[in-house]
Amino acid sequence: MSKLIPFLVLFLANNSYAQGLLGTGLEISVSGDMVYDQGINSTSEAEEKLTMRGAEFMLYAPIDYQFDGILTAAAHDEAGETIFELHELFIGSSRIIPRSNIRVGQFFLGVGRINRFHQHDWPFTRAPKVHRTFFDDEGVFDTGIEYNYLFDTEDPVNLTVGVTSGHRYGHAHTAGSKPKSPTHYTRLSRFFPLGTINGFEAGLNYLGRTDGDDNRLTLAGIDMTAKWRRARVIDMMIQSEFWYRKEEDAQGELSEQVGAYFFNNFSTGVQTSVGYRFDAYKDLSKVNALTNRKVNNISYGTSIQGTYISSEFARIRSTVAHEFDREEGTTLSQDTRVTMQFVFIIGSHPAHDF
Amino acid sequence: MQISCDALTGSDTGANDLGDALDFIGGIEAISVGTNIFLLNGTAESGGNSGHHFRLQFELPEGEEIIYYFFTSRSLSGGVQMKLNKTAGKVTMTLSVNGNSDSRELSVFENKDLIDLSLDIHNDHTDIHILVWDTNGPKGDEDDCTFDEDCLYNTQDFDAWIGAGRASGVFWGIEGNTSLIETLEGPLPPISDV
Repeated sequence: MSKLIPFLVLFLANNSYAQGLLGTGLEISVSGDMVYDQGINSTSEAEEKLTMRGAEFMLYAPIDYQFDGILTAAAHDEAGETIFELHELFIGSSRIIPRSNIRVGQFFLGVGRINRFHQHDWPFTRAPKVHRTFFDDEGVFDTGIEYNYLFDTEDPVNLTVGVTSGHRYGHAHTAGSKPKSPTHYTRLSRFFPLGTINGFEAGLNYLGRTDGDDNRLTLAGIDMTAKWRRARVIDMMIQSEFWYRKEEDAQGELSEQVGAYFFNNFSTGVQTSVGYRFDAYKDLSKVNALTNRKVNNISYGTSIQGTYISSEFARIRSTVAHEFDREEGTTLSQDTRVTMQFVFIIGSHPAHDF
Repeated sequence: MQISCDALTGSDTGANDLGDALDFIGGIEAISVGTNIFLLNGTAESGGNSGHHFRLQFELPEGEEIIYYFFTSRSLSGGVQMKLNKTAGKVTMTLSVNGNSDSRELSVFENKDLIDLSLDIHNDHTDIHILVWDTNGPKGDEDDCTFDEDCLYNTQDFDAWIGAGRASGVFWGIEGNTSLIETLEGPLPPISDV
């Protein structure tokens, strides 16, 4: 009998836990994002192995009649080591202030387009260079407060403002340090309906931060997304972002970069689609160290992709991508690679933004 | 904003034409910016918000000191400072960034004349991440690689670098007796992905 006690305890605990889930509305979602990339040219930096790029656990539920809670933890592959980190943990509400959403905690900053989405929800596999450089391979998240107001206009106009700690920005293995001015950002967006089921959204973005060493970061950008639907299928999608970054250090030295991408995806059937993307990136302040003259440089990227969509919970994507850097009439580096991506979601998943 | 076709193709403007009146240090073009202080050819990408690999091969006789600068200003102030000296046959490396500093004896080079170091500097992290290896030794990049002897130094393994911030600058340079320098390479793409 004594051997049965631990079993009974576990059984009853699990049973009460299951009933608790049913009673609280707690939803659980697990997503997997696996990527294999194969270099085609000898200078490709493709890892040439199947990488568990992301394993994400999401729990979300209404906390009470006013607040919702969400927790997202993700495991990422970093140099072959799986690193677990808290992505999001916030309390939010759309029911306290009319026409408003407010959230407090840790979250991906509500600026731009792909920074607002989890990596496994992106319409392409690898971020464009401008995003990888200005934000990170995935995106920028931080702890703070974000407020979103929907204006009472004929076409929806949204204003998002946020202030986050700014101790960290982008890729970090440490807790960072106290900034001179925290990360602050805003996004003003407008949705233009194109008929009853199609639409176009455009956003103006600003982000600023001054770190503890007096380096002042300014980002300004435009994001655009348009979708044309046929029943539940997205017939055509256009997505684009343009970003400008300026950084001024404590000595007044200025560095400026710009970058953009344009992505276009077409449905080729109920379960298949094809797309292409053009990326460009330019360092406006690059100089030759010895001549002190401005160096003409530009980086381009282009890719084509095909996606098989089994359902909204599983898809397989294949991409051929070519990136190259030019400087003063010389091509410095080229990277051609083929990528296979496998994405799945099990459990429930909250509704996406437009 | 006006952008010319040349700007979009990265065509030649002559900015990289260095002429002949240059010093060469370890195979890299350089100009003097002070007594025994040289600015080296090559700049970091994206205004220094990037990661780069460097190789430093040089002789270090007893009592000698060489200082390398990375992600620094044109005058070689600020940024990453890497000081190497030899006393009683022991080679000591001192890294400094934004007032944070740490020293470590590189026992692998004890009583050896030729030092051959490889390093990755990830200056696109919130706090700079520096990995130093023996060019002819293992090149681990995981946490604790300093103590597992897979690298000579990993800033990630030492509390001195908590909150160190990023280096501000795009240039690199050297201070010391440049006749001791055998080979310099950089700034190249990083070899670690951390």
